[in-house]
Amino acid sequence: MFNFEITALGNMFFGLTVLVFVSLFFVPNKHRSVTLYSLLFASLACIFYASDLITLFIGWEIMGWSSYFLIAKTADKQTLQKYIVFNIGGAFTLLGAIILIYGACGSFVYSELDFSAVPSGQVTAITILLLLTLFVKSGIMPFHYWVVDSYSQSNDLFSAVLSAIISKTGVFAFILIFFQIITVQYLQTPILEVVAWLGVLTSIIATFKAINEDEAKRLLAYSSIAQVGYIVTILSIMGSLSLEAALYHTVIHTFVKLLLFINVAAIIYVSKQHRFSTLGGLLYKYPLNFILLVVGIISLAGMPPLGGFSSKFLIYTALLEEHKGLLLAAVLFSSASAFLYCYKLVYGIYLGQPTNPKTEAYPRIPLRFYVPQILGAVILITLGTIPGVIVPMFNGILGSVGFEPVLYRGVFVLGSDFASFNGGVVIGAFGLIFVLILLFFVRLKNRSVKPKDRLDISYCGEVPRADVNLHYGYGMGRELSRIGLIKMILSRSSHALWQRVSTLFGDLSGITQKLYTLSAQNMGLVIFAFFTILLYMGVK
Amino acid sequence: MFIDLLIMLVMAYGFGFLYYGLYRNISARVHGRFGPSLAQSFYDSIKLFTKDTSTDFGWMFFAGPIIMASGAILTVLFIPYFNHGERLVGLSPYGNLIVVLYFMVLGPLGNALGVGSHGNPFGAMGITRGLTRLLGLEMPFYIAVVGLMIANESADIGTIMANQAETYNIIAHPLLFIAAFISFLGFLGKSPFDVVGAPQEVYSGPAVEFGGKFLALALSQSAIFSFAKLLLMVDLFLGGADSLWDLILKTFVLFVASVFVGNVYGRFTTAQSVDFLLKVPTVIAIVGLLFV
Repeated sequence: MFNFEITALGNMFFGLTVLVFVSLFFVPNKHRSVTLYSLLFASLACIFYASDLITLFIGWEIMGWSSYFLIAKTADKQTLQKYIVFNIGGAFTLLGAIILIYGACGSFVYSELDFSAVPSGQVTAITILLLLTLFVKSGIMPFHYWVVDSYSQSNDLFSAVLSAIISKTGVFAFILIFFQIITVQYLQTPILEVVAWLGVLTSIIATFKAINEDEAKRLLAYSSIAQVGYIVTILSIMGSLSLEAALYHTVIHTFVKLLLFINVAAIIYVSKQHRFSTLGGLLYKYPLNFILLVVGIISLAGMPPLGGFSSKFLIYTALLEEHKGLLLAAVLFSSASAFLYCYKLVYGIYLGQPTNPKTEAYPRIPLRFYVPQILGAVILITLGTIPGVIVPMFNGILGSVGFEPVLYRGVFVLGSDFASFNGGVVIGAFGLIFVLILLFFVRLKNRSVKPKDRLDISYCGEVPRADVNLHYGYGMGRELSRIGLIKMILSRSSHALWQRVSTLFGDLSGITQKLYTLSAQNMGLVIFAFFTILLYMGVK
Repeated sequence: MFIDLLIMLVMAYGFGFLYYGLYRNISARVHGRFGPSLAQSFYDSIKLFTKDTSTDFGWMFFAGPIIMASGAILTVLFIPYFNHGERLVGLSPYGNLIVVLYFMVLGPLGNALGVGSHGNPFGAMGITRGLTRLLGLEMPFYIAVVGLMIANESADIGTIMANQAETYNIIAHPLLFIAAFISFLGFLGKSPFDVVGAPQEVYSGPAVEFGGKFLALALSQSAIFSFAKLLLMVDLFLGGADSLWDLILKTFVLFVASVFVGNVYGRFTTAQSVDFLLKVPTVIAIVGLLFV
């Protein structure tokens, strides 16, 4: 019992956890709880370094419970109920899968598990149970029902942990179980196809839901669901390049979400506002925070020259190499739509007109909020410039799970035989062109005057009154609901589905309840039936 | 190398404005007017560079158009001009088609940041229209490009050009070309997809607060960017160019085709254009992709 092993895969995920936790330690937190955070940290270590399934399960459970108490500090009852029901369900399916694996292979230790003699039906059952666990943790639709409320109602700091680290435990478990333990030759291809499409549909739907959100943290929560959707899609391709792409995207997404959640947390801290309709125009008040957010959203949108592009590039080439054209088209659709919510995030908070007359009185953002943000930004810029620098780490992980590394071992160059690009040249060329135009521009005439106030704008030849709402933040994306396909996506919700499931369980438990509250005669009948069955089995 | 990059940039600027002048002339003839002289666009650009905008909304207002122009210039430098791979290949060996596709959206994002910073709601409205339309535009174009990349087993523009030595992709993959061409009309800002500026109808659009040198930069980058898009279409579907005359001929044919279509159709609303783009060309592109 409690077997641990240091592995390359565990090192990567644990390394990310350490960086996130250490940087968050600096951030001011009203609901600081050293015990719960330590417990969570220990459970994550337990998950990442476990070398048998029971240790993994124990870590998984402790993670679920410690997170529950951390969410419970700020969330309402309904959110907590959703969280607990889904996560207990996920833990049960994991336990079921572990029992089935033990039944089939006779061991819990990863290295002793051999599926060559296990019937394919049993492997399929195990696969489905494990997938359910991972889907719940990573928020794959329709199992994302708990995610958005929990992320948005948690303490601002813990939202970052949930999105940056806890959603990745699903990814970790996927790689561990399907690349290392069960391995691809025993998996059913149709199941993987379904997983791939579930992942990409999740990302498309979550992207449009994000565009429609008025609350910054809910937008980020939906964005997390979408990004993890890509990772699940690309993992289900089960190739070398796809694994490297998934690992790269995991690293990028961890730092992007750390940066963005803390950025938003800082704004909520100083303004006490969390809706786009009550924020806006904070650009010149908090310029550094604005620049950091821009670094984050450029990476989130996957645009060159920052790190986000490197991982998106690998995702696309992995899908291209496998000739998954339609899947790639769907990923691109979601990815292109993501620009809208990225812009909404930056516009709603920093650009446009201030909606609040008290903006001037907002205090300074405490410097401690910048520690995780600057860490994230430095890593994202570095991975844009020298995208190949972490490839050796990924190659090590591939080697340890028995895959042949395909990425080049370059520093500036990232890619495989299919396609590659030079991050140094891209960022260098962009920087040089930007500076040249800037210098040229500064040399030109500069006689323009500063506006008298924020209302000094070109407004159909009139001067707008101060009480007119000039902030376009929350209205952004509203016109999407006029487009047929998108309207259909936005009008659907998984609420009805889970309502039905809940009613079904209510009915079932009603039947079970009757067994406990029977009258004496009926109890006699039940006992009689029970003994009859025993007798029948004995005779047989 | 640097001389090549400079030549590429100057050519893009020159041809971009020349074609813009031609567009104004052809449109004028369609409307029964004479239109301005061909050199007028160049005069406008140079004149505006010497003027300043009246109001200064701070550094982001300044940086936005510069990021936009950098994005456009970067795009043109990463697309090879000729298919023999000797001269004017620019920075294309360091990038590939996916990089170019993403550069094409870098500019609009920079612009969006600049426009958002001045706080004029009409500007933001234009940007939202633009980003929403982009959603529709990118779909068919990306699927078409994905089809080409799968068919050629490469994301390198040079390889895709080289593989067209016998048959151009416009013949080999006609459905992909049709889908990409419809998107391309929108990328050029031609009717029926010119919803972003829409200057005649409402007083709004990304350029609402930008005047003088900012407008000059916006116009110049738009000319360079238009040429980059023409070049990309020629490289992807018409086998690239092997001489200067070939380049002029192919880009000109594509350009005239886009002008004619643009002059015939009225304008869609934003929702209509995305709806149309997600239905018609996207379906054509998916069918084309299935053939690949």
